[in-house]
Amino acid sequence: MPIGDVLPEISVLVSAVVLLLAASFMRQQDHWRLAIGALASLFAAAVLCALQLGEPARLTFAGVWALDGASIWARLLILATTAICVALTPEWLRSDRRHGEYYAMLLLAALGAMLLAGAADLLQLVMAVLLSSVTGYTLAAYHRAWPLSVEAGMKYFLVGALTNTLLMIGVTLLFGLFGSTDYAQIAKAATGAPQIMALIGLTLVVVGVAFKLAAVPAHTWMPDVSEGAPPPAAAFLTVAPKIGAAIALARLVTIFPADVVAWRPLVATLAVATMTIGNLGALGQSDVRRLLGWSSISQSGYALMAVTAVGLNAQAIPALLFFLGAYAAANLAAFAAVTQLRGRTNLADYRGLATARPGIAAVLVVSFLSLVGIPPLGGFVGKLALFVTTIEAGYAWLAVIAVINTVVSLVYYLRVLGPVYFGDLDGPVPVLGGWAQKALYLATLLTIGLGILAEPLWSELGRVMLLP
Amino acid sequence: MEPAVQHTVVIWPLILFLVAALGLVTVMLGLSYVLGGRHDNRLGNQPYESGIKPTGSARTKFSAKFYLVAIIFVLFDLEIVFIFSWAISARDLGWVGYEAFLTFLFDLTLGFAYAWKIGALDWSPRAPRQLRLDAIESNQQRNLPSEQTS
Repeated sequence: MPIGDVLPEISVLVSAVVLLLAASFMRQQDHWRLAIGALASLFAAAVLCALQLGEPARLTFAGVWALDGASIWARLLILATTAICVALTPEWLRSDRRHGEYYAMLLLAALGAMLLAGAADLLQLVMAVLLSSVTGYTLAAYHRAWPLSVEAGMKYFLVGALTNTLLMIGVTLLFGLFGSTDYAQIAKAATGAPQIMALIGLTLVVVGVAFKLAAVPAHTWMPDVSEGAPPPAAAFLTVAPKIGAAIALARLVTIFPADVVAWRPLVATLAVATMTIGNLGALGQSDVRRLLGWSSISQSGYALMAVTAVGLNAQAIPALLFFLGAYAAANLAAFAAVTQLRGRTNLADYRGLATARPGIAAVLVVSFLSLVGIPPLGGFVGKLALFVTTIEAGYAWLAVIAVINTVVSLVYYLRVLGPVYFGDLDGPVPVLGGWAQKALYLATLLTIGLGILAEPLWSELGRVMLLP
Repeated sequence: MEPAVQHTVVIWPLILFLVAALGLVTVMLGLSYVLGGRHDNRLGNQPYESGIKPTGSARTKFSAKFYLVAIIFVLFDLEIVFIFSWAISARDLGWVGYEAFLTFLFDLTLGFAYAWKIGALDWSPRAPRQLRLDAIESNQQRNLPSEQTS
């Protein structure tokens, strides 16, 4: 067995087990030390992952695990995301009896997302979706004495149970049609005339992955989770599984030739529906955390544009990765701001924030403008790359709809920023503490840095491959 | 290759299954709709039609310790299946199989240690014995006068 090819995953898994056992033997007051352990193990995994960048792209473990640029960069992104989410946690869960176990659960959730990014086999995909889902439910319902958190976990679980079943049915159909669950084998078998059964099977699998991506039609859990889950967990759940799922989806659909299964119209339709429904949902929100959830749905729609263009344009995967990175940084900054504000979520409570906490207000501005795509922030380069890729792939209409959606999205982001700067402050604005503050500024720096240092990164991403 | 022909052959059991599944549900729901009794009066909708008025809510919290122990039991019980499957072919698998088996048992032990340490195996709430004795004693004292008067 080529154990060396999954060393980052093994290190994350072992750290999760060690943290879990340590948490059960340590005093609750000392559990914050485990955050340092989690950060160290994430760093080690990232180093192991970065070492794989130099190796040639290949499929290992009998073809079920893709070790290419797309999966390595996505896994690095997931590890960085998880590190910021870990840093948001210690103060938020200080009084929680299960504080230490949270880090183990977070690492396992990160592992699920990493497995998604590398899955090159239908059953590997199923396993990754399941690991990522089961840990996700737990993270969403972590405040189990708080009804909203439990409700979020329950809704997440119900949608997940349904879509996971559909995913399994889809996998069964595809396995029956092509006689293999291996992507490379399916690609070899999928030739000739259009096959309606293959389209049905692929659609069901796409729905299963769309659940992790929070894309239509499995997007309904996202606003509830981002409102009810503990904000550090919501920060993770709105970002990390999406990175893995987007790469998994791109890897999955490209194995089918467009004349056998017409997946491009399918993904393009999902993209349009996702971005539009996400934006429409966000427009009327008076709850900032729910608003961030809806905005996160619409961002998934933009990511699906790149998936539509995969195979038509060599820049599609680099554009997708860059967009996901910029989105991750901006969204983490937004949720870090919410966490640092002790989870305040009512839009009316954000009035006059800029006078009391100018730093956090500035972070919100940077994050929201990056989510809209204003230069010189990371989101601008990400969206620019996405639009150019989509137009060059011949989907100009999709790009036009995305631009219209982007303009609409400006409305609800400004609906938050307006009161922050022009409202009257009432009452003090307590904040959480040093850990959350550091995570907050790190995410903001990344958002700005991705915009300024876009060129070297882009040329590095340009060499990325997507197997098989 | 004739995809159309091949598909009709492959697809009909699926369609049959779908029709059977939908038919079963329709028959079950439809029959109970047709045959089931229906009433529209206020008394008939009460939980106890015999006249006893229900008090309080049915949604009370109670300790469900049982489910945790049951889940842990099922987990460890299922691991036995893997151990049996190793035991059957232990001789063929050799020392490599033995190492894999030991690794598996080690992982299990880690899970067991965790479950034990967080108190998932404690059947009752952990109260000191003296506290429980005190509670019983004060209960008895409270009940004494009423017993004497009756």
